[in-house]
Amino acid sequence: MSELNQHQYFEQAMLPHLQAAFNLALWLLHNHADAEDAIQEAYLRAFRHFDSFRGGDARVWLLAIVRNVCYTHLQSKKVRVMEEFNEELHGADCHSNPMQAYHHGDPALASLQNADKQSINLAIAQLPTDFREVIVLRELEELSYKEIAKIIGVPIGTVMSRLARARGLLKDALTKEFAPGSS
Amino acid sequence: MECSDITKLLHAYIDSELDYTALITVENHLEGCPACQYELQMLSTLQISLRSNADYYPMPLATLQRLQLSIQPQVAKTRSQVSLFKQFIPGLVTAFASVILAFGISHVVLFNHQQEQLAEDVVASHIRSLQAEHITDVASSDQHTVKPWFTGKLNYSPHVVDLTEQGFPLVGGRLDYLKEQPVTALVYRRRQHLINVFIWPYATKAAISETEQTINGYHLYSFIQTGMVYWVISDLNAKELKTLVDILRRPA
Repeated sequence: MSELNQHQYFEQAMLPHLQAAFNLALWLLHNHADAEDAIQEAYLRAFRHFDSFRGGDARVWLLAIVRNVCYTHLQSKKVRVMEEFNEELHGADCHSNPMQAYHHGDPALASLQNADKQSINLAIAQLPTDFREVIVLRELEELSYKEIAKIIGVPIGTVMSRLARARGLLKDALTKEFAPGSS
Repeated sequence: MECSDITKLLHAYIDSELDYTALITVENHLEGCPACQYELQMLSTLQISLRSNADYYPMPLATLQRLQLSIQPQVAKTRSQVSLFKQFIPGLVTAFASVILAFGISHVVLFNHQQEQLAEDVVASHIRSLQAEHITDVASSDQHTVKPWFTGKLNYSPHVVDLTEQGFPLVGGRLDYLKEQPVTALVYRRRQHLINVFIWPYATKAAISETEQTINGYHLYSFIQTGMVYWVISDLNAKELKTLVDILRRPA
């Protein structure tokens, strides 16, 4: 392929996914300027390594690069406070017992239904990065578990457990006032 | 299976990621377990709330342009290494071929050229419109708000219809320019994909044919309906976009 064709082919493959890439970068980095830097770096990196893209899923390929760049940014800025999820702090027993949830009845469900934009965005923003990214990829990009696993570079089982934990945390955050023990 | 095992599967259940056996297991359990039904309802509600409320950050046009520019110098560099002579040969051949073609089937070429130009303009308008806060001049899912907004701004009245029920909610409308003439741009949404529908009156001399094409990963459809030219464009997959095209082409 000539250089010029390669260039056109690259743009054609990447352009439709830049929006998703930018959205992911902004959700991961919380900051417009950082997201712009990250996407710029990722785009150049993608262009340089376009040879390694063998016509698979361009979106997955680009998002994996963007994610890597974002994580490097986070590490260098030491923003990523929570490296590993703290099991004790967010133990499963505080939110995953269905009977418990069932007993506080409809107010909790109603608060999920009526949650406003601001509280939902805040709840997502406050998730640890590992959980925030699966929520963004699943709920905003509507990617499959397999695609998410490829982007993050973990087994599908890990995607499932992170998604479950992330949703548990979001549910807790949005129904806080109805959680047992909070009153 | 215990409730605790089922609740773990409920995530994959709402995400349509369960295999058939697991699906049956979950559905059988759900039938007799109000607690898990409630948990399922909570999860689905959470999912709907997230999808309809979470911010989806649009990329500013300036960022897109910077990205496109950023990979240009590398191309220029590799090209300058090629000798000038080699560079010119393909150009000459192309030019020569164009001359022959131009003599042979001039109006076909012209026609195709106009179509290509128009398609590229449509792509450019679409990308420009995705810029933050520029997508709509009038933001409303109510067709009775959007339609009157165009009155007085255009010398024709576009057919505005909300297609929420068909899965394409109307986001709004704006005035755009294509080929230096004002055109109606209606914006629809399918999940996070925005769709621009450009509409203007059909002039018989204009080079318009029904087309279906992909430029830079965007799918484009053009057609004529009740005296109006329609161009529909989105990064949505071609199949779903075709569904919208079919709906728009249905007689009102």
